[in-house]
Amino acid sequence: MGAPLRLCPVVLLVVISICAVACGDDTPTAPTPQTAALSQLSLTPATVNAGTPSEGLVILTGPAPATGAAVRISSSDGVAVVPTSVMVPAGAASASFTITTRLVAADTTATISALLSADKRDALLRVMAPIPRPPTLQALEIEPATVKGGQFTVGTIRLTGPAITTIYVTLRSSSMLVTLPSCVVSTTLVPSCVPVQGGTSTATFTITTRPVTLDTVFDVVATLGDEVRAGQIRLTP
Amino acid sequence: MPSTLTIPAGATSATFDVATTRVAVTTDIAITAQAGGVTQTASLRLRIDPAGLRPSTNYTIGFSGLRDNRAAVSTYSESGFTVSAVSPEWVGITTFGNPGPFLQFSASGGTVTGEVRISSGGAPFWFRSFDVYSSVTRIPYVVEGSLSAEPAFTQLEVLGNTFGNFVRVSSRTPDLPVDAVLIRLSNPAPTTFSGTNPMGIDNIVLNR
Repeated sequence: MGAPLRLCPVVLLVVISICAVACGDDTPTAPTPQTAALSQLSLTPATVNAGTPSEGLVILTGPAPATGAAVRISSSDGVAVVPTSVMVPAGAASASFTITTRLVAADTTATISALLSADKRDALLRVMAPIPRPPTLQALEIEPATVKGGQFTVGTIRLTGPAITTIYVTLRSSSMLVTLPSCVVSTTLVPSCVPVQGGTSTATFTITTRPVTLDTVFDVVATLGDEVRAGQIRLTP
Repeated sequence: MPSTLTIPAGATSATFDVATTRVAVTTDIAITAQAGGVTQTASLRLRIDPAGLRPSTNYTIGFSGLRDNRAAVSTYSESGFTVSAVSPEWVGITTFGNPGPFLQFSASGGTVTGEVRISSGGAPFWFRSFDVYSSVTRIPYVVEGSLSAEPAFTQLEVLGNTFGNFVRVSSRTPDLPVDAVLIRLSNPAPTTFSGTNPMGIDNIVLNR
């Protein structure tokens, strides 16, 4: 019979600690509740006219705990007014809130932020002012789109609305087989350009082509500001 | 208003009149009914009656009480009017103005909204004009007047670049009484602009 095992308090403490972690225990224990984190923040619509609302939606990675999850909401600009927080009810994974916007005289972008614990999500809300806007490029049409090389075809520029003053739309082609019109802007000749006169929303122009020996397809591209539209031309021998 | 009301036998409701008098400021009143240990409350808002109100004396808020250059201003009172900063951070500028001091906010890298609210303790007044300034941009602004929380007028405009000079904005509806005015400026600081664009207001002319 051996000597009784004697452990000093320090050693005993260590043994207990190790067992708690690694020795296993058949007693069922309640799972540690997983805290739902913030997954997404979305805005619908993301662009609104000043004075009209948008709806924000916060989505968690899982159901909110029994106490619910209070998500803090903030806006970077006074143009968008948000509630200070939105509560995701217990068991739910999302909640919505209303963003009211103020009447402003300039387009303004506000960053809407949602914060839950250390999780932060941002979304941009663009608030459009009720101010006159110049029309943008809607379409470039080419008719007929297939011509025999050496013949003419006609392009049509369509704007989203009447031009206030003459607007110049830039043209270019991926092929040297066509000749595009030019504009005179303040006595300066601008190549590959078509004017849309003030008060009108369309303009037509002639595209001159060259003879080809094979079927050839290429684009004509119209550009106005950030808007780009393309039309295709097929030249036949 | 009667102190008690009898609901006839077999009925579930009864009506009563509430007599009101003209008020100088918008006033919210709680009407309470109590029966059988149950209390119900309804609110009644007494609005300012604009009929008979006449403008009298002009006052100009020139921000002469601002002493510390670039100190944050959340509220400022002058001539019985209060100017409250709604958003964002407004500062008093004593080294410039029309004449100085004036109230300014700045923006960089995009459009920022700056808004102030003008009131007179709830009493009605008339909005005449204000001077506005931007360093290097056009000046989009909205002025909204309300009376008893009801919209009275809205004025929206985009002024051209004044290149750092003040310009006067006059009310298009100077005869409409209000009890609150919001001046909302959009400071369209270019995103390509490396510095900040100051924008501000001075000489708010009101009548009461």
